[in-house]
Amino acid sequence: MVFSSLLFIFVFLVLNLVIYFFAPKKYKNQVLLIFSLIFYAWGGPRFLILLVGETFISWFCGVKIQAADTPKTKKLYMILECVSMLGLLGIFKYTVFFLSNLQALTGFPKAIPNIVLPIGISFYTFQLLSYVVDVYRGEVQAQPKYWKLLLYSSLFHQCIAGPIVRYETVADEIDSRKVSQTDVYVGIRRFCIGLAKKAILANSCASAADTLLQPGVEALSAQSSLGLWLGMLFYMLQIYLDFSAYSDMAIGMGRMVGFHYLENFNYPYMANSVQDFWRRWHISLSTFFRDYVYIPLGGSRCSNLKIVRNMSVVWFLTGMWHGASWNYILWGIYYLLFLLLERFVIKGRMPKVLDHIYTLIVVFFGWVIFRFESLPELGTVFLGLFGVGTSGFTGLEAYTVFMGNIFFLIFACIAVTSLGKNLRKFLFNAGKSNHAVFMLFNITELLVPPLLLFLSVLSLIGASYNPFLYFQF
Amino acid sequence: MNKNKYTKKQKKTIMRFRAVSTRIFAVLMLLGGIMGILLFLRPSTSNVEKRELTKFPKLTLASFLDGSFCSDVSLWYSDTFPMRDGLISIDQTLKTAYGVTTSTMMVGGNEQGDEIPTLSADAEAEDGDTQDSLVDMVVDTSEEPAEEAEPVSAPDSEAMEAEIQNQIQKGLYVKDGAAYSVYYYSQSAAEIYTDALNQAAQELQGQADVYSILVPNNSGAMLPEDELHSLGGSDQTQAIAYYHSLYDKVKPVKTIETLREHNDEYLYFRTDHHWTQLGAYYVYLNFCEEKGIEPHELSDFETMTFSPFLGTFYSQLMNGDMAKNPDTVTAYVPMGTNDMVYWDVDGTEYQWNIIEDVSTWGDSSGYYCYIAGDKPLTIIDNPEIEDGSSCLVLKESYGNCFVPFLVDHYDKVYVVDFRYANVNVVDYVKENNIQDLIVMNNITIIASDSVASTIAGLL
Repeated sequence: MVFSSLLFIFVFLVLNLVIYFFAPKKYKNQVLLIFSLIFYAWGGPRFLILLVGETFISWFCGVKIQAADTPKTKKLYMILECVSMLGLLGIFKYTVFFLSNLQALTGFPKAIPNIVLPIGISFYTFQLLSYVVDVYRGEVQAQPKYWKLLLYSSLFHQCIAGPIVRYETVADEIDSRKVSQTDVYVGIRRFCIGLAKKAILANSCASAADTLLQPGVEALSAQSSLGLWLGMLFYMLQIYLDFSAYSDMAIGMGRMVGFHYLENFNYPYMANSVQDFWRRWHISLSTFFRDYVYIPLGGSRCSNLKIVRNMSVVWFLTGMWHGASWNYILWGIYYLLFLLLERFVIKGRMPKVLDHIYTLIVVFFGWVIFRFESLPELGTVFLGLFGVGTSGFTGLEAYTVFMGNIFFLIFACIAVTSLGKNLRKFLFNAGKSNHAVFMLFNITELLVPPLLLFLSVLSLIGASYNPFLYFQF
Repeated sequence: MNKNKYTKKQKKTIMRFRAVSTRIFAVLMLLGGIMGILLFLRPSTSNVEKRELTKFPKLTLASFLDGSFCSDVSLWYSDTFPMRDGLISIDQTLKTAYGVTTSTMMVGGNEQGDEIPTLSADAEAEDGDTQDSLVDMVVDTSEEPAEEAEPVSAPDSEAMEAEIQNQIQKGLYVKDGAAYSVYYYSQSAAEIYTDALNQAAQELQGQADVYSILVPNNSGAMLPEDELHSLGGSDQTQAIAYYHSLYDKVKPVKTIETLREHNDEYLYFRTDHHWTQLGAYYVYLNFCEEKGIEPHELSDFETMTFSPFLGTFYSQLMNGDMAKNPDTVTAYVPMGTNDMVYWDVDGTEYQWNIIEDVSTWGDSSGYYCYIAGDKPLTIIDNPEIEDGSSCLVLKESYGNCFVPFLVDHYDKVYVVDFRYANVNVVDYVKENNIQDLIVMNNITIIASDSVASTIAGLL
């Protein structure tokens, strides 16, 4: 199930919230767990075994590590955890990629198995890994009850699209959490903002981007250069709005029931360096790699050569994590190069204003690499952006999409900045001494969540508009 | 008042506003939830979209296990949400605020057709290489392999409709309240189609004549050369000529040249992807010439008109210019009879009118006045002619407004829509002793391997 569907909003979430709030306190976790398992099973019940199984292994290893009396035993269970988690992730996510490359090189194997990627596997596997590592390091207590760990790994708020919540963030809140009226309101507001970001902004951006960037080398080279730029701009907006919307909704739904997940995005398109971008983009993933790969390897407190090695490992893995295809690896390496450049050459000497522009350009071309899994398509678009091999500088189609979305585009560009947040802050502060502003602040606080919910639902129903799917009655 | 902190009273006010907001949210959610379970409020068809909405899926163990049942439930839930047509129109009104609708625009498109082999170069061997690779490319990228031998059964019709729609919507050029679809030539589809017709003509030699009528789409017939060229699609005159050059015993009927000569007249709708019956009339004149019979004058027929008509292009684009200047459907009623019989997909027989009064059917239904729309099999028996002459028209919806002109030339007219029929047309022609097999298609629609293969499967 996806958050941005009417079934989720009006059936799943409504039932979940109603039952949750009426359930006695001691059953609230069970309610969440049952809903989470249904949510996960919705996308194909057979993968539930994987989620339940991975959690079982992690629970077992966690308990054993905590109970172990020698470091050797601890290590043994730690290795068991790593091998099984990374092994399962490898099998389900990378087998096809690995075998098809092997086949291209050696002609072996003849047939490549068709493995479907279980939904959310990259997220919950990392969550469980982080849990066991933290137990191993003695940073958290092992969870003695299996079902509570399953609640942590399967919680529908974040199970399939992040953020990668650390066990330590929610460890205490699993057993005791308080929900205030403010928590509920703030959670609702956050959820509605996320829903609107996804249902209205991201989906519209996606449709514009898909119109301009049709799959296939032929279609892409029939596009004009400006059409490619515009299409990529829409894609750049889409990918942030979409991804951060899921985090917003997760954080919001968590807050409604008393969980405080950490922020996952911090206006990444306002970054002033590539490094800054990665501090603001998908924070839970960056910190995962920082804490469990980069720092254990020695971090940056070692020789330059080792720093380069450590960064290379992290960025290769970051690329790999995003998908089993060469373009994602290329994407990771691309960022590695710019991070090395900033660390060893630029060293923060980029003039202000220019640094924002430089960062946005790097990120823009990063998304070009990210979007096209097919390398010939990637090449076509890359050259096309510079006017090579396109149907011309501009075209009627690009013009139509541009004019038809001009106000939307401006709005979406503003929506990825912190302007809205700052405006609210301003009203909040100015309201302290000015009654009119105070009331304005209150009215916006009141109207924003229900209005966004209503518009999002309209947009989701509108998305089912499909004239002549089959043309006649 | 302390400027840095809210007073207790102010904090209470904030809390109160927030509590109201929370309640409105809860009410909206519950309202949506309740509306969602009121099954009797759920629509089953959409008038605007001209389609049946998604049905509640059947639960089987397999569909449950692979997750398709659950995802179909999600689809059903949102596709048939109560009051959807109204809510969709609100959403579309809001979305007009996204930008400016220009009077000239291009929606979709941005593709390249195959190169149409020039007639003289076709014989040269060196062209073979590049052409093969083009063919390969098309075959490789097409979604599914051509199913040539498979007869087409009814369940495939939906997929066929989607494919046809896909063909038409590949590129829409919109100008001053009229949409034009861009044509993309496909070499492999052309070969499949012409091979099938050639084979049918071969099998029917001595028994029936096979006529091929390839109707251009509105851009090819109506737009000035330079404008047409700037859209970047394939040249329809060239393409039709190339199809004709591949025919062996098939008799081609001239279309695009004649239509272009008359393109200051109302030959195609502006808001719909079909042609008008006037456009069909000019092609009918050419057919008569090819067959060697005397055509009727337009003024011989009684007419019916249906207005306003806002067709498929309008449904897709919701273009304001179109709404301001809708189309009019003019239908010419055959002189011999206005009665026909058709059979539905499930085999039910219906008595109907060749030209049906659809004035009460809604603005988007004008084109349904012709031969009851698209039916698997239609038979028209003209009581004024009893000489045993007959023809069979194998067509999609472009043929609908052409068929009425044939009625006054034959004892019997059979009409088969290739998308819904499950019959071997060649055998059918032999069995019923039909003398003319007229295969009539819009050139855009058959520029797809799977559509061309479907027609081939029936021949």
